[in-house]
Amino acid sequence: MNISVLLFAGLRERFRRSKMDIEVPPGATVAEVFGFIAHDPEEAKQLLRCTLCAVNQNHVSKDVVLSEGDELALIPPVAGG
Amino acid sequence: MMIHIAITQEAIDLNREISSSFHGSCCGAYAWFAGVVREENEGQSVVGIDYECYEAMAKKELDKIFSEAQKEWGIHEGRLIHRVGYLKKGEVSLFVGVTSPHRREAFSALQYVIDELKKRVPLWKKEYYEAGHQEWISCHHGHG
Repeated sequence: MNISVLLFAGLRERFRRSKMDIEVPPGATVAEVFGFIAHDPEEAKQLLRCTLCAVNQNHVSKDVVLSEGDELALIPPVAGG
Repeated sequence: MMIHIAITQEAIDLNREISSSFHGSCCGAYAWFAGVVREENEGQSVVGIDYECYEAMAKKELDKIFSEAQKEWGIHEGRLIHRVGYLKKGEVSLFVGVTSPHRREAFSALQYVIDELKKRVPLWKKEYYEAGHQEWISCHHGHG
């Protein structure tokens, strides 16, 4: 199935893009997506530790199962104000 | 409750926000806060800050935060403007205002909205320093 991954701030710079359209297996969880987008397993682990996630603009835990067409936002530490 | 939330690239006109935001005489208290780009952070001279926002989600979260404040303190109106893009030191980055019948509720609600914004609203800032380097600032990591 196809999902979109949104990247912001430091993550956007790290991956040199603000959006990735990727294909993941049906039933994939949010956590599993990190394995698809990271350059290596170590980076996937590090990203999992320090990134929060939102699906379709709502905060979710990383064990949530994704659906076709979902918009997954990877949220580095926030700092508004 | 009447809520107005905006994310803007335009300069925030404080006089306009303060004077035209709120209506009615049901509330005896109107508390507001303005955030300004400070010229110093942790010993470094700051020349400006670049703000980035996930706007669709930020608006949703801010809406939830105002609803929570309304439930807890019974505020009547809420207004929040956050600027994004590059701001020079001294420029206004944020305006928040709330009204309620009494001052204690207005102050508490205002504090709550700002604190929650900093914890959970997807906004980011990159500081630019006089020395020439830049850095993404990490204040909080919201809840998942």
